[in-house]
Amino acid sequence: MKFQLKGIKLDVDVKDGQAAVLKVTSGRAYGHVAQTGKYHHITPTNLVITSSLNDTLQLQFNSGSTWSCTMHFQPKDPGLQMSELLQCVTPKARNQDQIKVSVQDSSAKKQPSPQSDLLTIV
Amino acid sequence: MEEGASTFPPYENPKIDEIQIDGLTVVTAEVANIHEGRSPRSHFRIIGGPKTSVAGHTLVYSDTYTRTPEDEVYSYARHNVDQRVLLERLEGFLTSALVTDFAELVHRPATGVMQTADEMTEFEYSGYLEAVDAMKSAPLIFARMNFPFGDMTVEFQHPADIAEDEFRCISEGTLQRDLERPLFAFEATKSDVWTTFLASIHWARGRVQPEVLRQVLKMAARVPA
Repeated sequence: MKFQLKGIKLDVDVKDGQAAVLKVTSGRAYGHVAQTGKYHHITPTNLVITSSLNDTLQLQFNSGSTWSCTMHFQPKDPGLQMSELLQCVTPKARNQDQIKVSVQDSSAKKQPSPQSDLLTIV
Repeated sequence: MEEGASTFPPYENPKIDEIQIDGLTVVTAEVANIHEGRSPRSHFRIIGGPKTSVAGHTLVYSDTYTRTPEDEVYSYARHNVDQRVLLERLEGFLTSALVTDFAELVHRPATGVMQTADEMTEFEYSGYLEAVDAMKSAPLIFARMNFPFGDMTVEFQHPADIAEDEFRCISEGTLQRDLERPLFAFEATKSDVWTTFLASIHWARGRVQPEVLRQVLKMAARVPA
């Protein structure tokens, strides 16, 4: 999932190693990774990234059905990466599951629209 | 959560003063030692004073970061011109600056960032005017240009975000997080040269005398002597 915020790019993906994936296997663990590029803006910004699952029947974060992280940006900051373990539990309970991601920016009234990934369970 | 609601609480206990700048009453608000991110920051804003034509709205914001080898200062304010007008004025400003104060920039490559709703591109052009020309070719939401005297950024959006009256939060002992946008911002650590340009696109330029507005912007830039 790609978010275009003014002065910064944000990608939030499920990763198997370095590769973003949309297919996950029950019984395996993945990384749920929020990664930004360099911060080009001059005003400070705090981003709150919140990832939500419908439930924890098939996919679950260490923290349960919701994971949230906060990124602080100041002028000249390099990119940041934050991640959470995402488990695809056994037994396989469904064929697809969804992760919804929303971003809040502390200094802007308008927020990017929430986005979601539909993951295929194998 | 309500759409657009801030996740972060307002700044607490700002230091408030009411002063006169060339006859214009303004309110200054300062919050020191904000620990969010890698460097401690002090935030400062100058708000139009009560009973003025700009009452309750921020004229200019600035942040000072405690960094090594020197503190860094950034200043920003809402502008109210569209992309075409802003770039025409930037072209005029740079043309004049290149001829007069910054002749050394004439043969210097221009680097920066252009961002549309779909993509962000880092660029390098043979000169600053070539870079401005390239910025005219796409509808931008954000751009940055790097300068030896202080980098600048600009946002484009319509309609503008107008924050609520600053005095309401101040009366409650806080300072709101919301900023008025779109912003023109610049690094003021070494120079306040951008204040002249900012005054030409500033939202209050028709309500405050030009020289007074420049004084307000220079006060916020806080360039070390």
